[in-house]
Amino acid sequence: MQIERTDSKNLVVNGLPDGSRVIVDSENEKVYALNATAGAAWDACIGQTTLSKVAEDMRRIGDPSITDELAQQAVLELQEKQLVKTSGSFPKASRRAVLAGLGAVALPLVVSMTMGEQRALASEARSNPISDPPTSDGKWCDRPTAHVSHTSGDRF
Amino acid sequence: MSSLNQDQHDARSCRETVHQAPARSYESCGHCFGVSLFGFAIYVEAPSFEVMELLDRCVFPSVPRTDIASSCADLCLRVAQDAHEFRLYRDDCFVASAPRADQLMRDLIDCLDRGFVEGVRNLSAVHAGAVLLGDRALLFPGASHSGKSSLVAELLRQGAVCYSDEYALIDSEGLVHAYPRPLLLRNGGREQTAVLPFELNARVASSPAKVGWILSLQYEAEGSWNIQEVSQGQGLLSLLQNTPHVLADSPHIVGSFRRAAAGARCFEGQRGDWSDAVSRIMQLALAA
Repeated sequence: MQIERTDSKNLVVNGLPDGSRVIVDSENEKVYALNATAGAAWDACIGQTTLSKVAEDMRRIGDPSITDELAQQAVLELQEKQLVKTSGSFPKASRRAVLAGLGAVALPLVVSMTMGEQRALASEARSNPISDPPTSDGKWCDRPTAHVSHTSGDRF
Repeated sequence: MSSLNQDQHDARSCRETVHQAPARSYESCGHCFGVSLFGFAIYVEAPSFEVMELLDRCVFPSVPRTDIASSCADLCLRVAQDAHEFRLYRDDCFVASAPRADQLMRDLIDCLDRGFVEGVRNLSAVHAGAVLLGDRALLFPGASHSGKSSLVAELLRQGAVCYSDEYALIDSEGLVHAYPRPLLLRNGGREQTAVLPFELNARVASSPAKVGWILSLQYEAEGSWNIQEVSQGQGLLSLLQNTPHVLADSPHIVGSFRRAAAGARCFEGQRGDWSDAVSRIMQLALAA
């Protein structure tokens, strides 16, 4: 089985002291947060590699107690988020085998957000977001707004 | 100077005419004052002394007032009055009108918040409550109505120092700066009251701090405290999910937020009522 990173030209990888990573993929307009286990797997997926080599590299650069099953789970997590691609099939690893390999190592986790989702959240990132209709360019109050009547009696 | 275009030159000339004014001397330019925060200049004008006192309370009350010409300001907030109503303008853009000036204050604070966040340079905002505990800042990013202001208010009563109940301002080094507008506290309903930190026996932070904790808390009315530690990467993601800046337009915010999250312990989960949450947060901070 071969494993390699997907061919995206505009990945910016932000490393954090706890081993986690935030990857910004401007080409596909996505942001990924990888915990330390997934981050170690990402780091191990340089060039074309194999699952056993990934596991070995993860043990070397991360936690020595990382098992092959946990490395496989991390690669699957990266594959699901389309950060790596694989050819061939994985050996079957039971959930029990994955959990048995945890110890002090966290389960691999990749959380993602699209740029579109981030843009939508940005427009809501303020108090009282409902009262103000957004403008087409995302700016606020570049033109006169409608009369706002105050019947609730906000007091100061 | 020769490399400046005309607009930049005019802007610089305007800045150079800004002088420190005697504290609260509205008479120097009628019922108006200026205030500059992190280089963002605001001009405020009112139709009377009484309305000016209201505006003075809302627009960064802890920051010294300056004389700023309206033509040189980054943001102009004006309240005008006719026989029937008070009208609020942002720059020359009508925003709202109301029979009483105090009914415009929520809109005025919205104008201030958004104008500042859109216009300030070299700082990135996160919609978050932020306080100083010890020598580290605690951030709890969250949506409107998630109880940020109540948590900030109670933490201030417990001895924390105020950064903001609305925006944590983060510089390129990842340090948090105060956004010193009044807290807006709800009394169970939609009504809000502007409260100054000193009214809670607290003060506004005067210097930046590293981030010690990022808590992404969901409020559950019947819920209890249940949080788990997450990676700093997830903490960074929560900052990106709660910033008013659009990442595609401002990619540099990732670097600022990465430096902020790099020294922090990050948690996600749910909280119940604010009194229990404050107690748990204080325990968390003291355990560090």
